[in-house]
Amino acid sequence: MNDKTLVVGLIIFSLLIVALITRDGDIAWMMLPFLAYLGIGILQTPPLEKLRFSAERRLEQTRSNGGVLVNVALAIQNQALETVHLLVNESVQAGMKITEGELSRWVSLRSGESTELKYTFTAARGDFSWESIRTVVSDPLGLIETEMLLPANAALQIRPPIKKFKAIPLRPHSTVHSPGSIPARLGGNGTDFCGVREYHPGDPLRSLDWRLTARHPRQFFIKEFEQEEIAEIGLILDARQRTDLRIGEESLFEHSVGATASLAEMLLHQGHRVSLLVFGKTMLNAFPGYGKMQLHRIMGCLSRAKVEAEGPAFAYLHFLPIRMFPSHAFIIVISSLTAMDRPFFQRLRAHGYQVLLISPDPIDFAYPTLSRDITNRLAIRATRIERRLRLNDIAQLQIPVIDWQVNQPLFPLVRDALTRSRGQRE
Amino acid sequence: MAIRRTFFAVCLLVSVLCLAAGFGIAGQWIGAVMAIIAGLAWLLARRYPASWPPHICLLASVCMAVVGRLTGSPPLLMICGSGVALAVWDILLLDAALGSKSSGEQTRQYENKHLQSLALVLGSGLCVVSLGRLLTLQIPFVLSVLFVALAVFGLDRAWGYIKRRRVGR
Repeated sequence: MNDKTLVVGLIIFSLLIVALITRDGDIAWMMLPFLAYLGIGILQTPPLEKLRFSAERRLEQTRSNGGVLVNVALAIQNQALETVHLLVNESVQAGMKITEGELSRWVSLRSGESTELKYTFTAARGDFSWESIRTVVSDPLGLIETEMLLPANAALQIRPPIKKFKAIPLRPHSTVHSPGSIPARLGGNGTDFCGVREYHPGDPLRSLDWRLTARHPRQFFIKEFEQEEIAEIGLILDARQRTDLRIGEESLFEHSVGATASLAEMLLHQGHRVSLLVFGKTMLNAFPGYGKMQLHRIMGCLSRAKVEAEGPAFAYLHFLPIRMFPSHAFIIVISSLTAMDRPFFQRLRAHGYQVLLISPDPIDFAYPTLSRDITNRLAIRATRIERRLRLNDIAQLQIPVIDWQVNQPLFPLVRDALTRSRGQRE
Repeated sequence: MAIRRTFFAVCLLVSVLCLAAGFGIAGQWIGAVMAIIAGLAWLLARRYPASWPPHICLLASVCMAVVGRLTGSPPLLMICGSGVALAVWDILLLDAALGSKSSGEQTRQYENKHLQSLALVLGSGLCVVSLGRLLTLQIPFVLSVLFVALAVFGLDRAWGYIKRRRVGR
């Protein structure tokens, strides 16, 4: 029952009571326009069982990058024999910003006629899905309303923005025995010369080193080439609320998500096996995989990733299930860190993982919004020293650390860090 | 949009005039001033159509009509005043629902159908009231009690019907 019916009903009832108490016929006559209003509303209401609609929701694309405008069209056709009056109402989901078009409309649809509602929205990142379109069928006076949810499924994944990185030559300690681009320090099928060894039955004859064999008439030698393999890489994105910093519309976490997406794209493009774990209240993961499908999976996880207030179980990185990553994988952690995170990195190293830490700098991120009085300046200085000590502490574990100021490009920092990390001891 | 505005202005003017004139004829000048203030309140309610002010204005107009009738104002003017206030209220809520987005053909159809139904309500309601007041019938008390019971029963049925309709699919 809507407000209109309630108000009209209340007035009719009140007038009836007053007419009976005062025994005044004119007050009873006063009820009549209201009764006519209610009566005509009821008479013009279409029977529920005869209502039939078909609905469709059309999206221009099912995957899109952040900031792109997405056009949505809702089409509803009246398949009943009578004219119906209805309100088409589209729900706005969290994170959507409507830029153009209308989200609700009252229409009269004759039999077979259809209406289309179009709107455009933009969103930074997220997974959006719709199951139905809300419609309210009523009489022309809008007194008796029936809410109907017409099935119209659609889904849209808005991915984090990717900055294309050039390929960085990795030198991980261990590789996956699958053809790739990383020299594996093992003899086998490759392009780079690795060494010469004595011939064993079964070796391909085309690898024979004829010159050396000619110098040793009773022995055969074959040339070996260095095998090129792929790396096993795990990405860990920290989505704990305590490591995020939100200033106005901007969030430090969004920068971390963008960095993770760019790294995943670059690494998968190079042919490596990549996995992802988003650590927060809602744990999201993409198990190790290759290629475009894996990129879709990782982007799906990243588009759904969000910062939520975590419970005690997710408060410390130490509780992270690192065994989901294959042993000797190269782990890249993207986190702005807390004071309690050092043991986690210790554990990673103890398990034999090669680690790289990318730490978005929260102090630099917040700096433009802070006032420049003496107290603040001292506080900023103290926090910077504290952070530097924290990062040094982790660097002492033979972990390359990237102190990333989010307004600076990440690629040169990653390239330098990975080049330096080649000397990292196991 | 233009039809709605015209309808609203005409109905508001008629409602206020009927109530003010009714009070004026009965010599209730305070009532007449109150009717004019109610008219201004309707204009204020137009700014907040999605909230409670339109409902308050309608209730105030009906209350004034009842008070006017009880203090001896001409009944037809009072009935007309409260009946047309119903139309003002309805157009105000229609305006809030449609907003400025009534440019589409189907929305215009809806608006026209709504206004036609409203005209039918006003026309039929006020005609029946006028006719009813012209014809004087002596109804025995028992019959009038029966009529009241019938009205209550009808309202109850209508109420039940409306509640059942709320169940969507």
